[in-house]
Amino acid sequence: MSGSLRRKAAIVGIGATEFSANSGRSERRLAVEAVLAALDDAGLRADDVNGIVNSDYDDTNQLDVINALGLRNIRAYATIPHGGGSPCGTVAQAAMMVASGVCSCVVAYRSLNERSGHRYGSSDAVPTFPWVYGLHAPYGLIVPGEWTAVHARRRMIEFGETREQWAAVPVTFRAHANRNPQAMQYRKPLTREEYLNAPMLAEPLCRYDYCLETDGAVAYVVTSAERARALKSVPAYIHAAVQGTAFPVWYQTNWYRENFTTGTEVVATAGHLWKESGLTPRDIDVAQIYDHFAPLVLTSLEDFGFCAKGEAGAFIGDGRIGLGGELPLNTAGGLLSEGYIHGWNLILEGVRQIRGTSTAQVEDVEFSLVTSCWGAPTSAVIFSR
Amino acid sequence: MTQPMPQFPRPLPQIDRDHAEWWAGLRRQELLVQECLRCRKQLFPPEPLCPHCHSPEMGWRRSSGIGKVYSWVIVRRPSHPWFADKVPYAVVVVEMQEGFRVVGSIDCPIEKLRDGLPVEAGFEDVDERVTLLRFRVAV
Ligand SMILES: [Zn+2]
Repeated sequence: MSGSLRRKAAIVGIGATEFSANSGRSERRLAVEAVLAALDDAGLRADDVNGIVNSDYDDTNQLDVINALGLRNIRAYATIPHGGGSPCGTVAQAAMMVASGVCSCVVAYRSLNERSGHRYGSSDAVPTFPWVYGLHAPYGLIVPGEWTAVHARRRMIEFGETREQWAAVPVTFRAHANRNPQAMQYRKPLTREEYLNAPMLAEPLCRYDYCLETDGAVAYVVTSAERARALKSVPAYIHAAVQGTAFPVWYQTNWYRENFTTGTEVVATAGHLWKESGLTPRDIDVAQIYDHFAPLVLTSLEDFGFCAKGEAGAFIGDGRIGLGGELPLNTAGGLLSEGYIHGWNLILEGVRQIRGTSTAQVEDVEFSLVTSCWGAPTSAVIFSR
Repeated sequence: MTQPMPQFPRPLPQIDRDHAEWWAGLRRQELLVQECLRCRKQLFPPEPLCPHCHSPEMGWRRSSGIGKVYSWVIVRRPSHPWFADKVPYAVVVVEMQEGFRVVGSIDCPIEKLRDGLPVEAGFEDVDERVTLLRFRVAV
């Protein structure tokens, strides 16, 4: 484990605003509310913070957070690129900032009014598209749901997969959300029949295959393993946190590479993850798999090595991914049913599973996996208790 | 021309220096694929140099225009206003005989789309600058 980050740092605080369709306040305000909640959860103060990390898609500048909270001791800051690929990469960054000794307390945040403000599924005002997007946008292949439908159709062609098989993902995640009062879909059950009878949006995808659109913010606090033991919260040790990518890679629009149904960047990330952690997929007790679209959960499971390519349709059946199953997934409801904080809320649930405080708590969790977006330069983290 | 101008124009590509020749090919009704003049590897989308051998000497090969449907989407709820009166519409990914893939529209009833459907490239001029791919079912 030379050069490894293994268990050198821990997440000691998590915070979130409510997840809603209309927050009624600015993204800046949401960001600082989440940061303060995370610090409070850790028993730390704003003056303790000396590192700050966010995602390139965040419209809340780090200066906004520094100014709103009156932070005076910042000595390292980083912004991690590639949108939904970035969340677990921010954990890797924060762990490196702490393990290097440069920082003793790093906060990371993600804030967005994605429902009441700029909606990622809308393209109304865009007149021209740069290079690779220009190759498909003029034909009406413009937003992520339309791109993903092409991928999902190819899964059907290559693997004989069906919507009956995909149904396990949205229906199971919804059942988990129905236990989580924080989830946007807390009081809205979803049956398999509702899923199968839903009208197509970008065929073969229906609305239940799409993640939610959410206003809200989340934040977390990282400190060193030594300091973590002195704090009031149960530390979620960062056992491994990695980023990875590989040629050829674009954002979910990679119709051109040799293998359509494998994410070279995800396979690369998984390789780093298992090597750095010294673990295998069998060691994972619970996982939060980035679920921007239901069929991509299947592709992610394959690319992370939980089953062979083409076998995820069968793998997710028989209750395996539900509470009480062999590999419970997205136990707070995921991006499909808890809320879409661009993958960052999955990190918080990964931590809660280590703490034993999830509303869909898995028994005796030793290793909790979180992954970021399939189809972009991506990242993953394993927390250990 | 009695049609009113649509409120939102069709989304169009930005044509930059590294890819101008590919778009110029479409205007001449030629579907091009980039080829490395050193290692002869085929490349699509084009890159400023060869990612396999790093040669800057890149050329273009003209595709037969013959291919097969590899995947597709049928958009039933439009995401962009220009497409609002065009739903449902299909967009196809076609694997060309030469082995590379491209995205295009297709003249084919959506219920007839299937994996491996033989198609040939057609070309549709959309303005004075841009020509797009519009596939036909091969007979
Ligand atoms: Zn070459």
